[in-house]
Amino acid sequence: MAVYARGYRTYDGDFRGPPVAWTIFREGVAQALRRKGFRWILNITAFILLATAGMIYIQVIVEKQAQRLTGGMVRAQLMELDQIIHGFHATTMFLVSLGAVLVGSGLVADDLRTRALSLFLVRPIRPVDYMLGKALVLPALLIPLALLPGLVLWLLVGLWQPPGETWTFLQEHSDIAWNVTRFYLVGAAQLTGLLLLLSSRTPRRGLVIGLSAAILFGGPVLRAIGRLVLGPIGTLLKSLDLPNNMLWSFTRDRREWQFEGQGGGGRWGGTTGEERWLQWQPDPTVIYIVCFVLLAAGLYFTWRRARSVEVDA
Amino acid sequence: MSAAQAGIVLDRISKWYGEVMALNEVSAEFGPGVTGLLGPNGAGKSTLIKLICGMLQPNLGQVLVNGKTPFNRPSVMTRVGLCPEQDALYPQTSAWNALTYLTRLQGFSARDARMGARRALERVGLENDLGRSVAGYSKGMRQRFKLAQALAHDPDVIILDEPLNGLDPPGRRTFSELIRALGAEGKCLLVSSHILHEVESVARRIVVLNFGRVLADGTSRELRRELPEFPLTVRLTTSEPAELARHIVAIDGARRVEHVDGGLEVLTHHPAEFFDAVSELATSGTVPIEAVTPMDEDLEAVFRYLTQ
Repeated sequence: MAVYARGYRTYDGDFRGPPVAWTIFREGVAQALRRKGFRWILNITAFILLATAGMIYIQVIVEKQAQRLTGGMVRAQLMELDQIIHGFHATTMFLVSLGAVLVGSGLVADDLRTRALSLFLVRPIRPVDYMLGKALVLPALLIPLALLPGLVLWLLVGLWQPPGETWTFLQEHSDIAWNVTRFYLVGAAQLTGLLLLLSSRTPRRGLVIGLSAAILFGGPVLRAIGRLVLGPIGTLLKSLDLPNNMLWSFTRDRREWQFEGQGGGGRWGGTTGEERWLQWQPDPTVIYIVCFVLLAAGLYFTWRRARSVEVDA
Repeated sequence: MSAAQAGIVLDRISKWYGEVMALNEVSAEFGPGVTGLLGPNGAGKSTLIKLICGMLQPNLGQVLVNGKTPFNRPSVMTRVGLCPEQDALYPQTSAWNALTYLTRLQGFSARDARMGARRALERVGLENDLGRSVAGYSKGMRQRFKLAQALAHDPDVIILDEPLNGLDPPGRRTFSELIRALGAEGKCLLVSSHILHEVESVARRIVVLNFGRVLADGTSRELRRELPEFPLTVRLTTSEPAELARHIVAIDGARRVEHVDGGLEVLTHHPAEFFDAVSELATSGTVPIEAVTPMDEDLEAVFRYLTQ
């Protein structure tokens, strides 16, 4: 037929822009930042951070004043920095969870609901590009909520040390930086995994918000049940309190000040304060397993979504 | 012409979902120009489009787009643009942002993507509404936006799924002109619709699909000619309808005669013989016949006949 006679030019284009996963990631972050709710969460977290920093600064001033008054012989007891950071994280944990749910619930579900996925699938995007682009959004958005504040406080307190002692202080307390990073990594892995998993299963964002909120905020109930159940099931139940997993990842290396507040190191009802405290906490290895399983499941189902619409047909 | 050069080649493709046969041994080639893909709801059009776009894999047969299998081969999609039937976009974003983003996903740099997006939005007539949220667009504007996102990366193969849905008459005219212009540029356009006059207005070639099979393939005139048994209604304008009716019922091919204002309407299953007989009658001067007008030699009638 005449219509075929004009022939066809072969594809002569190439990828001139950044990797597609990076473009998807950037758009995901931009979309999240366009959400008023998430911007409010960022602002409130920044306010709490400022307040905490201000409180520490006042303590430092008081300490310096005390040193002057007593000829520098008395060193005021600045509250342990890791306790302060733990307090900050415990206070903002609700905001971290809420922010993750707000942003993460729509990561894939919005594409399904608005049928934008069909537009992605007719673009030169590999499923792995889509998966990576989506999976990086939440960890990036959790940085200002769960990683930076702890590191900023650690650095600030280091900077407020007497001249010449900053580096020594930071080195002596380098475990705090690592614990903050672990807190962030555990949170990023399990929240990303959970929300990708739920978001890629349904186009209904409200359902994803409801389910993820139930899982995140119902965690303490599971942990309480897990404390009563012996064996691997109990261990597993205790590790399903995702926010607690994050906090426990931060504090488990410095838990002495925790159980001191729970009855000291003395014996009570046959158990020490530390033993009773540990009964409530999951095994660190199981936390990592939960992180891995959630993340792997979330990534797999997101990848599968971007592979084909066969499952919908 | 080799298969590698053609826009789209479907080679005996079959696709089924469980026990439901969506497509059954469909073979066709689509090259430069506009081709209409016509069929009622459930005919298999959407499945065919998904197969061409690589969203689905055929159970049997082979789909080639620019000579390559599209399924699991995203590079093929650099030269394909799809305008889906449903609204498919981020409603909270401005048209400009959304289109730049979608164009960047084609592998363009930010600068090239912005240029492509602006060109496409100008081409569909949305240049004055770039900054508006797509959520605030009318149905017609959303259709235009969807077409713009299919054009922004200058693809060779453009698939338009029900592109004229929801457009007002001026919008339809503009859209049809744009589709024809793209076809004239040498792009391979596949326009799917179940609204027949829409397809007829933009496509020279029409592929009729029903129950997962290609029922017909050609221009509407070719289709009509290749269906000699297809019933045709003919209007005969006359000042003496009763007398004319008496002669018409004697003609072998006439199946039904109706008296209408200004003449008769006759249904015939043998149009060629019927026209010969009417011509003889008119030239003999037995009864005055002022005009002979075939009433349904259009795609609507062909389509109705084929799909019933």
